[in-house]
Amino acid sequence: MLLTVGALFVLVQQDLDDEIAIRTTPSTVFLRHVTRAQQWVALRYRLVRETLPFLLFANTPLYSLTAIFPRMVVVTHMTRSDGTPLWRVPLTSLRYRDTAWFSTAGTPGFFYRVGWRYLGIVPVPSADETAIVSGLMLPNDLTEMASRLQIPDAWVPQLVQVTSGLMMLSRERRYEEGVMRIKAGLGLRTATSAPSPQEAAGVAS
Amino acid sequence: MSQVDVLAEAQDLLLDLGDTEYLQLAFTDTVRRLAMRCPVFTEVRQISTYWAVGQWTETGGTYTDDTTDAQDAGTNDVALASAADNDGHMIGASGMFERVVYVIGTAASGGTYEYTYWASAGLWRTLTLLTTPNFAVTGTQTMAFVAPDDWAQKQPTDVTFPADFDGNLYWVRVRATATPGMPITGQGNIESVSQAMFLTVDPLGANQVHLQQASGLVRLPLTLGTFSLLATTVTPFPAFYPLPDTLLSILTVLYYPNELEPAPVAEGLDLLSPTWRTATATVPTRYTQDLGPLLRLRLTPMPTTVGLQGGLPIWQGAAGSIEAASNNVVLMSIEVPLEPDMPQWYEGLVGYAVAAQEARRLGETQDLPLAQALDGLVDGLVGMILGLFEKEGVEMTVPWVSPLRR
Repeated sequence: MLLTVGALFVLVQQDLDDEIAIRTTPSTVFLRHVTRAQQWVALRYRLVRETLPFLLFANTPLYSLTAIFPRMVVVTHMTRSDGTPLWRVPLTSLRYRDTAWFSTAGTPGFFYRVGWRYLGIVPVPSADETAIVSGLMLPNDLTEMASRLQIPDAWVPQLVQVTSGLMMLSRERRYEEGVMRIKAGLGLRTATSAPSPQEAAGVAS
Repeated sequence: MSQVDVLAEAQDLLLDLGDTEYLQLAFTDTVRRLAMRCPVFTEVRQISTYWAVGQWTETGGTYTDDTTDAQDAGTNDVALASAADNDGHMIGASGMFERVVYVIGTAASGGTYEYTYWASAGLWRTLTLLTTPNFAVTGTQTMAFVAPDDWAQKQPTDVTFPADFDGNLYWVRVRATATPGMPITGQGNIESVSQAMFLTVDPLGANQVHLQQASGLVRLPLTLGTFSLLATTVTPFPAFYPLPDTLLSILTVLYYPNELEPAPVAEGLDLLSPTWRTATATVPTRYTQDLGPLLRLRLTPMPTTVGLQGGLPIWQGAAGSIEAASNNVVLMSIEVPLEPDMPQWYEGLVGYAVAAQEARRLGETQDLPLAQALDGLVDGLVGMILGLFEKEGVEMTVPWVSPLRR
């Protein structure tokens, strides 16, 4: 059972060991911070993943991922409807396969990203079909104390740390301690260095 | 979310003591700075190069298209005015342009000329010229002007066009209000118009790169805004395209249907082809980005072909139908996101960074420890986001660094 924001509020109070510290009464500030904290924790540990159908149209090379799945941050895997995987390739390597890659039609075999917004298919589909994409999603906003978290309970300790760190930054003016808590919650060794891909992969797996 | 929400989040960190006016000012700057550090925002743009030239006949108010003659190799085969008063020629393009180069073959012996453009109000307005062509002298003559703010891409309502001609273009009309004495004719190519002096993002219409909408039923066109236009004095083939000021770096460029090879100037083009600045060919093979204060895309060899009026063909129908060459430019680039396009996670970063900027600013609310803490937080989160994208295979490397990149 996923926790509610109200339950998390109690945990944050305990974490701070001072009910007064977060002004006791849950506020919009707290809701904003816990929403943001859940997003950072979910992205850091790749906690919210979804697999969804994705319609490919004949002779349509580019798709607006942000229009189709606004909360999908990163596509991780893609397959055709028969289970054949589409392999992810860098955009700037396509020219070595076929200089007309943006127009050559055929059976889709690869996908590429144009940054955050677009998803492209190579070869360009020659017929309509339904593919399947998997990706990391941004968790939903938490708008009231009854809202339920979208990340598993196992990650609540990290969420509590990040949330209490943000509260320390904004309400208690205990800046250094606040940043340290956020770093600890997100598993960032220092404030200026990100986890290596290996570290991230290790945590995620 | 919106700027208001972002600033509310920043105010949370400033105990609601931040200067609202300053926060609003800092917002835009912060979005740009963070986009440079977190270059994952992209845009796909289409540059179309269609233009048309034809004769204007006052009697009957007709336009007779002569684009083929204007664009082919034949010389002195485009009539620019007749012996009759108020006849002349019209130039239309799918993007705004600011310069036309004529090559006059048969000169006028006199005449007075009127220069107008079709305005959004639905009438011809006087076009103020920076350089006025002299039709009484043979050889190269230039007409230069600043694109008017109210120039409209519309079919003039008082002009009768050929039945199969789409007149929804940016139009300039040149009329000889007093007889030029004899018909004036010019040479074929009007290179400045065709190749470089305008560019546009194809407006919403039938011929578009199509995107799939969430419903899967409606296809969205690439809605791409409008490029800024820059005057230039480069001759005779000013084959570059001004780029929007939101652009940070080019990911790739296609001269549809083929992708072009990126090449830097100093260690690439100058070595590969010392004459690249003036070389022309049917289609280009490489592109580069001019260094300097202005962002410009340059194709080499400079293409002598133009794209279809509607831009890229529709991506529908039978396989292989898209192979019809259109020679339009497709530009994929990393850009600064516009406010409506900012993802929620990015707004969180912007909120922290804006608060840090306000805390760093001199004044009653200055709080350097807070600024330092928030800077450290933003650094860590940016690294985390970049690691996420790199780990998951989203391309972060770019062919080369733009002049704007710090």
